[in-house]
Amino acid sequence: MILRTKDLSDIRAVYLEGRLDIHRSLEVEADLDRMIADGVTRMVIDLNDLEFLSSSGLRVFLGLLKKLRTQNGRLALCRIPAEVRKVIRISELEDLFDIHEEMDSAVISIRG
Amino acid sequence: MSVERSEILVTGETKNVALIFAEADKLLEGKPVSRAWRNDVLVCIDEAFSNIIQHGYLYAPEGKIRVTMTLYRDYFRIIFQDTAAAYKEPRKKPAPGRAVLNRKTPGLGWHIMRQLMDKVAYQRIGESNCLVLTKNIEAEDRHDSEDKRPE
Repeated sequence: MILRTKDLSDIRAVYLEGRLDIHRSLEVEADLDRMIADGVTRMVIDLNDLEFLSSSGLRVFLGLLKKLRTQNGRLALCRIPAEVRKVIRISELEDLFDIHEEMDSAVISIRG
Repeated sequence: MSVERSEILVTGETKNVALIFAEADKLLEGKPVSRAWRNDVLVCIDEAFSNIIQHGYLYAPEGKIRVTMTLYRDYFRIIFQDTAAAYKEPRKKPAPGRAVLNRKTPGLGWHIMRQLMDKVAYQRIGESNCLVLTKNIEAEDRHDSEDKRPE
């Protein structure tokens, strides 16, 4: 699992690559928590290179969404591969997340 | 496709999910199943393993889990056996959306397994748990033509 970041002015873009399984979810959650502790409140997570997502990974995103909301922050997900989107869909969580096809539209949505 | 089997015994440490993935990858390597089908299998391996560690062994790392995977011509079967406490298999589908966000409805992992597998069967046998996951290999799973990611 690789986690890369890029700051787009006031927004932190997070790129996840690999398998977000039970083990990696714990690591990614810790990394995201550190970002929040450092003051990041607006995030876009790019999932284009994510191979799969299980409920462990979903809970990381749910937890992140909850934490950001408590700080009046925003979270968007973008470029979700079909297999990953399928897990979000069958979990009936698509409406909970701000989901975009492209990074640009995700950034605009968060700034809006 | 002849019957092929793999068996692995791991301890209940989260990092060991990678060992089970590696066994599944090895068993399915070169087999004519789609990436989407493989992905469903791997997600359910993660769900089953997570449930045993989190709700069975309560993160006790010494707990043992035996995973047997068998590839038949028309289906794939994964059997998880452990000696953790009996699971509480949720029968109800978790409430979607906000309730999940508030963690009021456990059972998301079970729900995902039931959606992605053709059969999910749990049994308490003596002091052991036995979870059997079965996924059929349908005609449309046998090729990769629909495996496209968004550009």
